Amino acid sequence: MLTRSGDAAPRGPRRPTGTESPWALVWGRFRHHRLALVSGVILALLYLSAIFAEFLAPGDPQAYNARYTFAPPQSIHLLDRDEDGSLVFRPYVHGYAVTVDPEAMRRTFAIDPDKKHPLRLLGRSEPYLLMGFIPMQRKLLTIEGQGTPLLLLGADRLGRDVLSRLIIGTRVSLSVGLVGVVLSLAIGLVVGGLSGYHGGLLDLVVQRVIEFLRSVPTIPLWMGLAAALPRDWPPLTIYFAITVILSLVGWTELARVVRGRFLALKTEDYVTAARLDGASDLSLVFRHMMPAFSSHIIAAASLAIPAMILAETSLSFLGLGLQAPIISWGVLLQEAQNLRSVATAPWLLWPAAAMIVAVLAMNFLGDGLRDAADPYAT
Amino acid sequence: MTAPPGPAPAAEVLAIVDLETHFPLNRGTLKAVEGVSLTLRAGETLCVVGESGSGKSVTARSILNIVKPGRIVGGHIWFRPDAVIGAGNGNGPAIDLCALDPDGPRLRAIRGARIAMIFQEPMSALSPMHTIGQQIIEAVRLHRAMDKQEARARAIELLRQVQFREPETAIDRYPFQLSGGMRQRALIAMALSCQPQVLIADEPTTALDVTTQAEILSLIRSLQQRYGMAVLLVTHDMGVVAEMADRVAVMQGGRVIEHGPVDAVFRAPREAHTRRLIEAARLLERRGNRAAGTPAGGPGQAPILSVRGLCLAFRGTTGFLRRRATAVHALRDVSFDVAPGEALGIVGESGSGKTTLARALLGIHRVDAGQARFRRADGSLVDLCARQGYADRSLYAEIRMIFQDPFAALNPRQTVEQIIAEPLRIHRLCQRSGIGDRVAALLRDVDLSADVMDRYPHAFSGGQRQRIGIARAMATNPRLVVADEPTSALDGSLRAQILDLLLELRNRLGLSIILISHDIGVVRYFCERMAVMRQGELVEIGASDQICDAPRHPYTAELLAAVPRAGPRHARLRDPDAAGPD
Amino acid sequence: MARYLARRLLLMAATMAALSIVCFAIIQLPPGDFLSARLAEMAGTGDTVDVANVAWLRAQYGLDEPFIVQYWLWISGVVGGDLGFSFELRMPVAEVIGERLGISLTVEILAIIVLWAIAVPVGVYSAVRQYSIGDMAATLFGFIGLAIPNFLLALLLMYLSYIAFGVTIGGLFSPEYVDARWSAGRLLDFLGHVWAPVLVIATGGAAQIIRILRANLLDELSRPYVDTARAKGMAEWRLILRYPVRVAMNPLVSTVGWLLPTIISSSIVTGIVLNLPTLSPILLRSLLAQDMHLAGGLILLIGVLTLLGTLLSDILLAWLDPRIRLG
Repeated sequence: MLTRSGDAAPRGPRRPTGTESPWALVWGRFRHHRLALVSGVILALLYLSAIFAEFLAPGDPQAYNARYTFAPPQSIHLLDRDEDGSLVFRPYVHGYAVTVDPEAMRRTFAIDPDKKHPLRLLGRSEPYLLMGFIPMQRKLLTIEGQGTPLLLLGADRLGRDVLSRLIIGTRVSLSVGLVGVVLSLAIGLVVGGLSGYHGGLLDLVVQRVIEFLRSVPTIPLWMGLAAALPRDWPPLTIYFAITVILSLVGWTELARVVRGRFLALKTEDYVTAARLDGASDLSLVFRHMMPAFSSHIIAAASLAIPAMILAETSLSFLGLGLQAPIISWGVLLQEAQNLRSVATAPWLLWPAAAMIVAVLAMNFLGDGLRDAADPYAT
Repeated sequence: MTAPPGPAPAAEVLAIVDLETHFPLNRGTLKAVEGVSLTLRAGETLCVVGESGSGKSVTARSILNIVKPGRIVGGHIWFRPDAVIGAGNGNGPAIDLCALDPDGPRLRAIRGARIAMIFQEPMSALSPMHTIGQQIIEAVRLHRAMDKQEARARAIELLRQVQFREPETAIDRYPFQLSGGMRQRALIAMALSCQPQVLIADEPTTALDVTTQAEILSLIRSLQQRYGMAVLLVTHDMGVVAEMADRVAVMQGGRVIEHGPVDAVFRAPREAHTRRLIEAARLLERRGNRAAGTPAGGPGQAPILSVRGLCLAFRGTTGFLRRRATAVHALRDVSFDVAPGEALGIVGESGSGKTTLARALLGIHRVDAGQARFRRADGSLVDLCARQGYADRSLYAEIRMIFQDPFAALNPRQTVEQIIAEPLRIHRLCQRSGIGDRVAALLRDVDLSADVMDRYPHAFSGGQRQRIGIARAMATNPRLVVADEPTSALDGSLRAQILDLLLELRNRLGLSIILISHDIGVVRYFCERMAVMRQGELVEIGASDQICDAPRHPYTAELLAAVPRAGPRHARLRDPDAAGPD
Repeated sequence: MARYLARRLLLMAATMAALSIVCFAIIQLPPGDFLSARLAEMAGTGDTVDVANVAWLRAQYGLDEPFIVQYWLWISGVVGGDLGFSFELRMPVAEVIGERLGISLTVEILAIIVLWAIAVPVGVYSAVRQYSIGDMAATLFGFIGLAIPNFLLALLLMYLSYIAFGVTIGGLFSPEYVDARWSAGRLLDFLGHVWAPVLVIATGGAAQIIRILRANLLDELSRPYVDTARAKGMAEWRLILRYPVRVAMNPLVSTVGWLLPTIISSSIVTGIVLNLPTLSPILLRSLLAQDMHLAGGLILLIGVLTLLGTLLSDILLAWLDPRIRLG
């Protein structure tokens, strides 16, 4: 009775016309997935900040200042008292009072309540190139006064601004996933599609290769390949080499999904019906089969991105992936390898928090897409 | 043992009063059963009949409160454990099954012991990971204090009673090693393990072939008489009702609309819906409004399709080191002709090769030997089964196919217009600007309104979808249509509508049709000639009426005998058990 | 069954051959060879270089021969138990591995046991009580396991225990037991240390298994055979454990096949971060130093162990599933 009924009227309230396009149905289902929607917004913000990273980062991510080694985060005060004692909206941060402990040879930082450094929105800054080619002289947030530090998330071992580095690192970490998945998808679509549609010996060989790659632990394989990269390659080349290495394993899952879909669709009655209409092979694939699984592919790809991000971070953390001067979340977390550093400066773990948020958001988004992918399933 | 109803009505073993069972939906609730009242007397068979969605299965499942995720929200189900045949009403205490905790020990002590149940899908109603013995022994030991040895002996005895050959070895078989009929027997054995007073059978034969169905039904009846069980049989098939029921309850939309002794209901149905159900079942026992003789042309005309010596085996290999070739012979030396304008029916049970035959004719499967010569519109002959058979794609416009499952055969991502226009576009059968008009005309031909064109298939019911599929097949003005079980996914009353539509189109357009069906009634209704297939072979071919009235091959006779007829008297006469003089 | 076994064994042999080629390619990938790298380094630090020794090593490993010959020399050595020579540690690779293999396997097997002990009850519970508080908690745990990579989990664990207890977790033995013989004290000390890596490794895998088991079991719970068992009069939990759980476990056993590579991967990362006396830190060190014979040998060994584990789980599956056993 709860199974598909022969000729009973469609169950439940349904829009009377039945003219919604497939993508409208997918969107309709996706909309009800609150968590996925919120995740989508978070991801959009993350990717936007990756694009406009230089504008958002208050400082120069590479600028170091030994005076501020492990300086703790400053907090923003929004309201200030005017001379007459009334409260006005004038955001500022306090400066640091630095004392050097002669015995431990360590700096200790305290908030200096007398030093107030006002903050300014869209203030002037050193000239820089947005996205590497647009010359700009304004940043989202600047601090007044030359040489005063703005360390909203604290500083690292070399006194560099963790926040600026985190924002710049977003660009590499998030794009590694994206580029890697695009690459994997290209391989997966071609190989999986051919293997599923063509079948036969080709399918057999592809199946074995995929099985092989999936039966080997990925981390040591990645580590071995990454370590074998020549040390003298320029950063950009290393970056692409790492994405290629990650896709080397990543494509198998996508190829599996594509192949599975092809195999399932090949025997669908409506595909047979189109074949009997006299449709050509190309038309079968592109008019009838591709539309049926494109949403599945998008979902599978969006679930593959977080795995890539995690892999890049892990490799870089171990010192086998990206190397300074490239900044990625994994590279930043290298700073946190030393337990003592983390104990003195827990803010070094902020990149980890960013990564967790990004990965969770991508998983929720992917789950939502997957659930919405087939609007015709019962 | 006398068959009820006798002069003194037997005690009511079950009395369902105002039952309401609801299912939660994403939005709102589905009121599957709304105020059903039924009684089941000791030792009798009550058939609950209705179309899909009528609430008949949910009613049956509510008795043992196995309706998750649904819930019984109102009513009573009174069960009288001491009710026996021949006693009057009102003796002994009655238990309200609805009032018992669905997971509690009191209901569990009744489930399987006093009231047993068997389900529709014998394929999935048994755990795939346990032998049938393990599952039956468990049922025995749940309610009887027996040790493993005794329970096993009892299980073997039960398997013998349900006519397993060699029950001592069969007991250690896994479900996947058994046929559908054998699995249903195993389920019946499990249900009988504690000699229940009531057996609930929820469409027990729907998934089975017609000859197997006949065996299972007669098994149920003989066991019922042996144990004096009351049987509540849920079915959609009026033929099964006629064969089995003492009394019948007709359900529609979650309510019982008619309830009474089977003879009375069949002789004088009160409700229009009941009449429709009976009509639909009886319709298929006679010939439809086929045009007299063979239309376009005469018997002397050259056949449009001439099939000779078709052989096809599906080969696989098992084993790895020592590969052994296995072959399933789906077609063995099949030969027949189809005259222009003729409808040839091909009938057979599952695995007989009939669908393979259809697909071979359409070039989907390659044959190993034989040919199928098709006379094209221009008079030339082409072998459909040759490697180059469909090299000329315009052939696809002359030969069309209608599919079995209307839900699967339409691309859910295309509008009705796109679906029907696809062959028009491919074969350039009309001007781009004229496509809309042509699709509208085709839709009108199949009794659909032209303004459904921009809808997607999910907006339609099964019957409507099948009409769209027919419109697509007719779009190219074909000369031969292969219809593979075009009605078997539809409810009974729709079946006749679709068949009549096809008949009307055929008579108007002078089509030749090959109709494939497991249902000999459908073929007889539709086709002048029929061919009976069994295990890849054509065992008999001839005029439909002649084959149905005087079958020559014993298998055809068996097939005909197995079909339940929608007339109780007819069935009673044929059945020695029920008509016995005891 | 015998045929199935033979088929699996043959497949595994082929996979191992492919794996060895990949490993050797990794060894060969860096430009130049390790000897020249080593020589350059020694020359840089002013160490004396024994020319004769270098020439002997060159010949021994066929460094001037084509790839295929070098591979043959290497693989025939590997099959005979000679995994090559670690130039970094100045000892045979086989010895380096031998010292640490036992501990590595112990940690991994413990992690797998803990993983299943957590995952199966939680997975069953969260499917049977779908949308309950316990199910939500399990789902949350699943997402955390999904989003936090092992190195971070290990790092957080170290950080938290340092903050909370002032204890640095890491290693598997206290200093006094590092080189001691096995005794009750050493065992207790070991157990006092091993929980941290075991927990870290098990968490990620358990999260996955819970997700899969929950999904499988939810599918199985709606199958007709569950209703059949209900109609027999079985008690709810008993029938769930006997039928659907039994069926849902089956595909799970086969997932061990690809779970194992994941577990090995996470044990490597965890071993590095927690500085365990396992193979993992050695692997990292050899890779960073481009001590490729050691690294290649280690990767090969890890791969082969994974394949063996996968084979075991496949056999287990076949033995559990009558459809394979008898089909």
